[in-house]
Amino acid sequence: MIGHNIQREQGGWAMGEPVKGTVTSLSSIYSPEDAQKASVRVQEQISEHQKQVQQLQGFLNDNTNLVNLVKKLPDQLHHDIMVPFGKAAFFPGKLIHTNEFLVLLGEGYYADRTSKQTIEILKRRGKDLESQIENLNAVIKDLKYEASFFDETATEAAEGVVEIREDYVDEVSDEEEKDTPTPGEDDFARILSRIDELEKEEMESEMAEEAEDEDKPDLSHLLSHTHIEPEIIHSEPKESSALPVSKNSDSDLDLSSNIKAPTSSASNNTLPRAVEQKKLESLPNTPVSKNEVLSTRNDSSKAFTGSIVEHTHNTEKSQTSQPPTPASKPVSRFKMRKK
Amino acid sequence: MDQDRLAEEKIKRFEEFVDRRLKPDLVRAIGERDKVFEQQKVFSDLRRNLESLEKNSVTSLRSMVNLGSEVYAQADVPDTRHIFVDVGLGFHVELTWSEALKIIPVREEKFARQIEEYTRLIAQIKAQIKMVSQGIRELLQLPAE
Amino acid sequence: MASSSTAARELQKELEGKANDLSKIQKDISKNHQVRKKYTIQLGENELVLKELDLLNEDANVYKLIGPVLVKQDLAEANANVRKRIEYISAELKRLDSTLQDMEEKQNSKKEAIYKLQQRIQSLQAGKAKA
Repeated sequence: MIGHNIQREQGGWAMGEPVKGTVTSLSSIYSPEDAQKASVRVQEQISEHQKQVQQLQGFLNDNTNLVNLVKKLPDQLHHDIMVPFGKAAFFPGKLIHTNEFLVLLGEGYYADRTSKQTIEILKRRGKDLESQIENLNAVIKDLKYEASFFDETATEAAEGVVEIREDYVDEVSDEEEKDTPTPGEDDFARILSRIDELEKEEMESEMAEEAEDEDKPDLSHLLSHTHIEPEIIHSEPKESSALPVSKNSDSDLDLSSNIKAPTSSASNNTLPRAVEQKKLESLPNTPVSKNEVLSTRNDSSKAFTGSIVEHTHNTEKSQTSQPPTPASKPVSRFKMRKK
Repeated sequence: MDQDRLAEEKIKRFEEFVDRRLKPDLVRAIGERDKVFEQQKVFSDLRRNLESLEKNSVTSLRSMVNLGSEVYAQADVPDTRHIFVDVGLGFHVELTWSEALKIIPVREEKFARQIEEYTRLIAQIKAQIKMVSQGIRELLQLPAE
Repeated sequence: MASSSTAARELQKELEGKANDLSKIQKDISKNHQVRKKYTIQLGENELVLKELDLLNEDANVYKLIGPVLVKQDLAEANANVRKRIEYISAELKRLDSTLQDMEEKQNSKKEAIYKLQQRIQSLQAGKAKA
C-alpha cells in the first residue's frame, strides 16, 4: 500500500508536474509496527549468522588442534593409544608410521601425505574458514546497522516526525538519465555544476560551513550515478536521525521492480543523516541516483513494505574506502516534529 | 451466537494443544527412539565384528584412526584378545571376547525394550492427536474423515 | 444483475486458476534454488579438491573412496575426473540459471495478470454495489 502512495506521488514528479514539494508524516509511510517488525526480522537474521560464526569458529578450533597433533606425532616412532573398534569399543594399540597420514581432499578423494604436507592442507582449510568467518562478521555488522536504522525509524515514526521534500527540476530529463547507466564526463560536470549551485544556496542560508568541504570527496563515487534528483529536506535537530530514506522520482521503477540487497556498508551507515542544527538548515543537495549507495536505502524502504531482504556483502568492500563524510549523503533531509 | 463463540474458543484451545503439546512431544519421542536405534546398531555391529574376529582367529589388527577432519593415521593392535567395551555412563570395561559376546546381547536386548517403549509412546501420542482432531472436526460440524 | 454476477464468478474462477499457476511456478523456483544451492556447494568442494590435487607431486598416492573401499587412483586420471565433474556442474548451474530467469519472467507476467483480474473483479463489485 505504502509503496503505491510513493509511486503515485513520485510518478507525478517525474512527469514534471509543477509540484513544489510534499510534507509527509513519516508514520504514514512507515508504520511504527512495520518498522518494528522489520527490526525483529533483521535481529533474527543476525542471530542466525552468529550461530554460523560460532559453528565455523568451532571448526577452526578443531582444525588448529589437529594441526598441533599432526605436528607432534612424528616426534615419536609410535604412540600408545586406544584404537577405536566401532563406536562402542577399543583395543589397546599404538599409532605407527607416525609421519604418514591419509587425508581426505573432498569428494571421496584421499591422498597419502607426510606430517608437513598434511599441515599445509590443514592450514589452507583454516584460512578458508577464517575468511568465511570474516565474511559472516561483515554481514552481521551490516545487519546491525540495518537493525538500528529500523529501530530509529520506528521511534521517529512513532514520534510523528514528518518529512518535507521538494522536487528539484533538472534541465536534463529523467528519461535521458535513466538511459545512461554509466554516465561519463558530462554527468560528472553536471554534478559539479549542481554542487556549485547548491553551495551558493547554502552560503545564503548562512549555515554552510561544515558541509562544503566534505562534499567533494564524494564526487568520485557519484560518477556512477544515473539519476539526479536532489531533494531538499529540512531537518530539525535530532540526536539520532535515521538514514535518509531516498525516494527519488524515478523510484516508481525502483520500488516496484528493484528488490536489491541492502548493502549497508560502514561508510554507508556512518553517513550522518540529517544534520543536527538548532536552526533551519538546507544541506547541499547532492545528486541522487540509483547506484549502490542508494539502492541500500531504497531497500531499506523496501523492507518496510514487507519485502524480503537479501544480502550481498560484496559491495561493502568497494565502498569502505570512501570517507564517511556527511556529504556522501545523497539526500538531505529535513525533519520536523509535528507541532 | 454465544455458542458459536464458545465453540470457536474450544477449537482454538484444542488446536493449540495439538500444535504446542502433542506434536512437539511426538517429534521428541521419535528423536529419542532414533537415538536408541543407533545405539542398537552400534552394538550389533560390534557383535558381528567380534564374531568375525573369532571365526578368523584374528589376533592382531591394522587399522586407520580418524584423528579428526578426515585425517587418518595408521594404528597397530598387536593383541586383540582384550577389548574395552562401553558399558554405559562413559565406562569402558576390559573384556575377553567371550565375555564381550555375553555382555553385548544383554545391551542389545535392553535397547530393544527401550525401542518398544518409545514405539508405544509414539502410537499413544498419535492416537491423541487423532482424537483431538476428531473433536475439532465435530465442533466444526464437518464429516469425519 | 445476474449476468454481472456470473461474470464475476467466472473472473473469480480465472483468478483461482492463475493463482494456482503462480504457486506452481513459485514452487519450481524454490526447487531450482535448492538444486542450485546443492550444486554450488559441490562445485566449491570440487574446486577445492582440484586445487589440492594440483599441489600434489606426480608420484603421490591418491585414492578414491568407492563404497567401503579405498581404490588407488592415477593422479592424472583423478585430476581429469574432477575437472570433468566441475565442467558438468558449471553447465548444470548455467542451465539452472536460464530456467530460473524463464520462470521468474513467467512469474511476473502471472502476477500482473492476477493483479489485473483483481482490479476487474473489484470494479465489477463496485458497480454492483452502486446498483
